[in-house]
Amino acid sequence: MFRFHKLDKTTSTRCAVCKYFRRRCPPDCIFAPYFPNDNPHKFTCVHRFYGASNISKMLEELPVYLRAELVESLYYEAKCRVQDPVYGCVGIISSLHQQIQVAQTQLAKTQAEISVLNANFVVAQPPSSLDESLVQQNGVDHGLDDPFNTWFY
Amino acid sequence: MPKGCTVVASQQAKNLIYYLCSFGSILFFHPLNTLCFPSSLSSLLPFASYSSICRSGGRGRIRGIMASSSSYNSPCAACKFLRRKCMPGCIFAPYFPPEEPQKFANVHKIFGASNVTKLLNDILPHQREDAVNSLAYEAEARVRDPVYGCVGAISFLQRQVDRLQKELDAANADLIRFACNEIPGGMPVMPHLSSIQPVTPPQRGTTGIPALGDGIFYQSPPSNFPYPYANQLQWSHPSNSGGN
Repeated sequence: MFRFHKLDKTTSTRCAVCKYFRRRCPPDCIFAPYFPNDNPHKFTCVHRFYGASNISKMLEELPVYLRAELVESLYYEAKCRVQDPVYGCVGIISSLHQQIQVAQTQLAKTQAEISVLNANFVVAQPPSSLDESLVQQNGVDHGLDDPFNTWFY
Repeated sequence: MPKGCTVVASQQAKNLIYYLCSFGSILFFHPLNTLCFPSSLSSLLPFASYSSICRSGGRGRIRGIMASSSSYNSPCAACKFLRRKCMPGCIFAPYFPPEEPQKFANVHKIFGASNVTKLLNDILPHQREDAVNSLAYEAEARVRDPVYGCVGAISFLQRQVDRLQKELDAANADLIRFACNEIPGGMPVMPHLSSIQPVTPPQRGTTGIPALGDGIFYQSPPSNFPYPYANQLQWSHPSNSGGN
């Protein structure tokens, strides 16, 4: 015996939330713009941790132009929590902090090494090269001058 | 989830005390697996006062609180909030002491008591404390930033990591340039006269943290959040500087 399900307009345009709850999706459904029916996983993921009523309250508290961002951030946090039920996205935050610490340490070490090399480079400069550079700067040829009695202009 | 993040998180909880700095909060993991907030930020974080419980020896104190809740019929913060009798086996009692009502209030507002119960039942008992604290952290972040919550922090930190990585690459390039100029053999010593091009350090892989792009700090990460843990974390250890 076959059963034919009568398709009405609401069946084909139900959002993922109303599909999940097997209810009619009203035209002003607050979830519809953010939980399209082609991505049911999004709502199941978010619903698992926040609950539909909490999501609805959060959406209602925000202006319309911010609700999409809210839903995306909730989805992100929910996915983090699915993958790490204990720490969720806090695990990511702590990992990032650790990376920052490591990078800062490494950067400080590298900059210290550069300072040391820079200092050594200045100390190791031979005197003749300085004289030549001064001659070049001033355009005066002191090549026959006594190198031990050189006037610096 | 790639193992890197879970392993790092587990190692943090078990081995290290370290400070997580951000503009909005300072967070550190106590070796007794508790998330604590320094009291200096009590003005910023409403439930920072429970940091004193954490620092004084989280688990032992919490067990003591649980014992006191059951022995003296002092309801936990959750049962107080829900206006019900706090039974001896209350699942919330060890983690929501009556001295920290705001903690449960935030968690309940964002997640709901039933969802928290389900989550705790799915987790091993020795991990529940960390789970509750991370939920409390997320809830607090969401209360402060209703749009982005923790994702705002992740976005900001990711930008910091990228900036530091660029600075580090530039510094390494400078270092290599200096090192090359010091090689003897008649090579010109003036850095700007060196004919050797600076060796670019080997390109690292992605950090594994999804790049959330630029945006106003804590305010407006972009809307294209990629999936988390898309790649393994690849960050060069200080002992491996200059090469992966």
